[in-house]
Amino acid sequence: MADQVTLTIEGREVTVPKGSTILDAATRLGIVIPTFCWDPRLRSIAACRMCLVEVEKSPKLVTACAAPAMDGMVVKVFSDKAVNGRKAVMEFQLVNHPLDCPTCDKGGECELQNHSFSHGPGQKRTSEPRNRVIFDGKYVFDEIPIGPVIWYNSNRCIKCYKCTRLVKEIAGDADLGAFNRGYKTILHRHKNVPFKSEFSGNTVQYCPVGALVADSFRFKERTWMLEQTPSVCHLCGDGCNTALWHQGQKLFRIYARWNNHVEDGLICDRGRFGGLYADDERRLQHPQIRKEGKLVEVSWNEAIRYVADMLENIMDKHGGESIGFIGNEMLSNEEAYLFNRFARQVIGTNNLDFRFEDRHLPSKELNFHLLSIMSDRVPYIDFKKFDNILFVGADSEVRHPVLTLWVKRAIYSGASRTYAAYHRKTDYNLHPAESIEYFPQGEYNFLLCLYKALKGDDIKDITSSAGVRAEDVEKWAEDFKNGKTLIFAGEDVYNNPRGTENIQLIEAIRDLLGQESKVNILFDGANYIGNILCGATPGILPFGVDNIYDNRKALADSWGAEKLSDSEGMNTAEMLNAAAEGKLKALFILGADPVGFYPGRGIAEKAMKKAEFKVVCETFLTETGKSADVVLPLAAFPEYEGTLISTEGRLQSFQKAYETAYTSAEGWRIMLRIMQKLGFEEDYNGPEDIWNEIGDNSEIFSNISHKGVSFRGLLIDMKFDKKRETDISGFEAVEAPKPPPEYPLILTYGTSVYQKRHLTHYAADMEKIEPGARIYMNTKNANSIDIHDNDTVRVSSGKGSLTLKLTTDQRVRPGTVFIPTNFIEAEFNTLLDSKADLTFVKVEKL
Amino acid sequence: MLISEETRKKLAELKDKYPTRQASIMPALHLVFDEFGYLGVEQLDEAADIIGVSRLDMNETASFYTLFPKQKVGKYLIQVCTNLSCALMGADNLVEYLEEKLGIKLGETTPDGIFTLWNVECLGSCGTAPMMQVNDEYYEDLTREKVDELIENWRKGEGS
Repeated sequence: MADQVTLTIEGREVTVPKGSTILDAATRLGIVIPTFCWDPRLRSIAACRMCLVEVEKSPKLVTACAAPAMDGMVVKVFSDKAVNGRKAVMEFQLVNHPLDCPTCDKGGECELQNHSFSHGPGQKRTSEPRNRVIFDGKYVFDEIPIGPVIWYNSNRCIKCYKCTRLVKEIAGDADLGAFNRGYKTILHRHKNVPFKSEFSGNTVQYCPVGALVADSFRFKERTWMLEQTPSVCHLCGDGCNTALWHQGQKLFRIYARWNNHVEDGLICDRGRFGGLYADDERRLQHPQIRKEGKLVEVSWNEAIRYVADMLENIMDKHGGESIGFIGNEMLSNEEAYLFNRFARQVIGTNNLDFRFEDRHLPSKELNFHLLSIMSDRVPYIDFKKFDNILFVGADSEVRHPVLTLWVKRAIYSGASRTYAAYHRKTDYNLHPAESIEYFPQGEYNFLLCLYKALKGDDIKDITSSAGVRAEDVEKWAEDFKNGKTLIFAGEDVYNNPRGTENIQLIEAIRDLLGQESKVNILFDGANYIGNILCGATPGILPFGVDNIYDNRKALADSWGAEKLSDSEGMNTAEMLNAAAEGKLKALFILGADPVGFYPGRGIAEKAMKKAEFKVVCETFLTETGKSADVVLPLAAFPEYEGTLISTEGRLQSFQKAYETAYTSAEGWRIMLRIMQKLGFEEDYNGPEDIWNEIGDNSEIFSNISHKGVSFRGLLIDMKFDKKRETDISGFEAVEAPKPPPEYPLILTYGTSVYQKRHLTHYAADMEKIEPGARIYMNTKNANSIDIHDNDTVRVSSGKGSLTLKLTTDQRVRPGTVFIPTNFIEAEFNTLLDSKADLTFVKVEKL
Repeated sequence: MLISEETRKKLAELKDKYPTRQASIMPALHLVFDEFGYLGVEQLDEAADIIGVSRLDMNETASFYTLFPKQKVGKYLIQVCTNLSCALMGADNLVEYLEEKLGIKLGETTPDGIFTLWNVECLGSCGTAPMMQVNDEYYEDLTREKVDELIENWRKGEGS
């Protein structure tokens, strides 16, 4: 065959595709050739010379990682010449390497140690002192902090350049490089640019020696004392596979587990360092009940009895419909399912929701629509098959760092071009990509422009309503007509007053672009899809069935319940409004913090005040928890097991690393105990039992055992492929937002790349990376009112005001300001009006 | 804006002259060096922005080439070869003599900013060792007397 080559390695023949290296061929035969600088995700640079092998008729030894395999090649890996060659390289690597293995954190998992043992000479022949790099006398052990959470020791570095290549070639950031030459080479950041790549932690994981060490693991524990437990990151929807390294009930570090269909061994710093919050001592340690206005520690028995009694009381007095359930999008499928049984069966209400960070929540119909689109989604590894990748309403690099990594690969390999439409320039646009910035919440108008441009209509009249230029949109439309297009519809597309229309427009655009083009919906939240499918929204019963009479009846029968509530049910926004008006008497809040994060702090605070009885289950004491009647300590993610569905639609399971810390309890256990006190007769031994019940009753999850999903995950077939007929011919552009003169700026908000709600604030590293909330403003706007970088400003809206430090940022659209939401102390939501779609603010210098 | 208008124009021309942006870094380094006589981080950053490569790449490349001074140097950059042939012919003595005469150590600049003294590796002029390069000129077969005369001349040149 023309595209295959056959060669002989150590006397064995092997056939590999043309273009493979000798190393690939040897790996296929199971022959291990030692390497330092080689990495399957990076281009070979043959920097370390460790993989030298002998090739017949070649005068010199060749590097197996870079030399292409050729027909008829005869390779010797273990000949004297090759073995001595590698021994010489090893000796050379060790000439200046310090003998500090006993104090080096890499000791025990160090490739240099391993290769030195198996390939190196036992003795050093030189007698000169080792070369020692001292950056700054004030640090002991010659280590310098190279980034906010990473230390660099140049003496240990063997210059394999894996770190700089990971950061440059894969993450596309330019903040770590190799300076000087020869033995003086050091890896360093640019003098004036901090090493802040959001993938910086990977350099620590893939450093073959102890040159790069994470601050959180430095001098903490020897690696061989730790156990590893497979887990899945909870901090965004990308579903990265992680390994928890722990000892007893202490979590030491989080590494990527390397699932080459998901994160490919590269996780972001939020997941790697932020996940360490699970280990923080500020966690809630005991159940607490409010007695005489104060939260008092009580026993679990007392707390559960109290909650059950109070809920029963309210059910008797006002009926089950007067109780609301607010969960969060990190609930596992099992928790979400039990949450739904708790609300619908035991309490008898359809007031339950897992979303609380947006006000314009998708309706039942829209959720079905999203699921039907996701039934025909594109998995991460296929992004590169598309010529054009369009992001609409998505701050993809911030909300989906790892998904964006796959898009970057598609761009860097030259396969795809990227287009990003958002109300500000996303970080993403720093890389070769085109961008359009529309007005905040201008998704509808923008999509309408794009749709009309694709149809060939004149869009000159409507582009001003979106705040974009007609020629830009027309150019994009022209580009999309060539080749296949993948459209990512971000959170801002469906969490939008016009969410339904937006999704219809996106579908219409896809249809105009032809069958080959696809749409992916982005979900922010570890288990957004799973929560919908397991019944944690009012309108959709478990396993994705419509909450209509027949389905309810069937579900009640399968549960052995008499009857389920016939009401429509309320979502979080409606529940909070109803509670604030006194219509909802009790709230059961599971891992949610509406006071801290619901867009409209006023209404959330009022709801907490007005409701007679509030139960909050949380890992840390949140703003919501402070005003609750009962606070129950919730286990953190390493302490229980379950399954999650990522934004890719991949079902994955995470394992329990250790028993719950302090007296906290898993979400499912807390709910089950309360349910049993209220007369629920079934019992589960653990999430596996709940999963079996889900599997037995669901078409989507049938024949998937809890163990079966453990390591690689499964792309689930959601079977929502009903074609929806939509008519968008009558769609008209809506008016552009007009800020009133007293509040001239439009407020936009969103997550920060390093933070996930209040949780990551309890991870010590995250504070070093991103010390606090700031307000971001375009330089042009700032200059016009004489405000500069680092000034302290007051932001005020009709609802409230905040004092923040300002950062001028070219990426923010003129006329808008941006505040990241994930800082509890910033209380961004005091500014928001829970009635109006957009919030207008003014900024003054203090 | 440290870089002059003229150099900026030349840098901008480099941008699309080569198949990759990276390839324009070397000529850009020369342009910046010609203007300033050294490569400072601020100048490199500016040049990187003009030719469209990352600031990091520009600084990395500059740091690789030790022949480019990274800090401001004297008007006369004296680079004495101390490699094998010159060393055999007394380069070390020559360095000592220069240090004494100029009152500075290797790698330093005289307080008046006229002379900077470096030692460098082989400059390919072994047949005429010991030798040194001052700015772009070679001075060969050096003796103490020759050095005295040269330094005298340069000092005088400064005075007038």
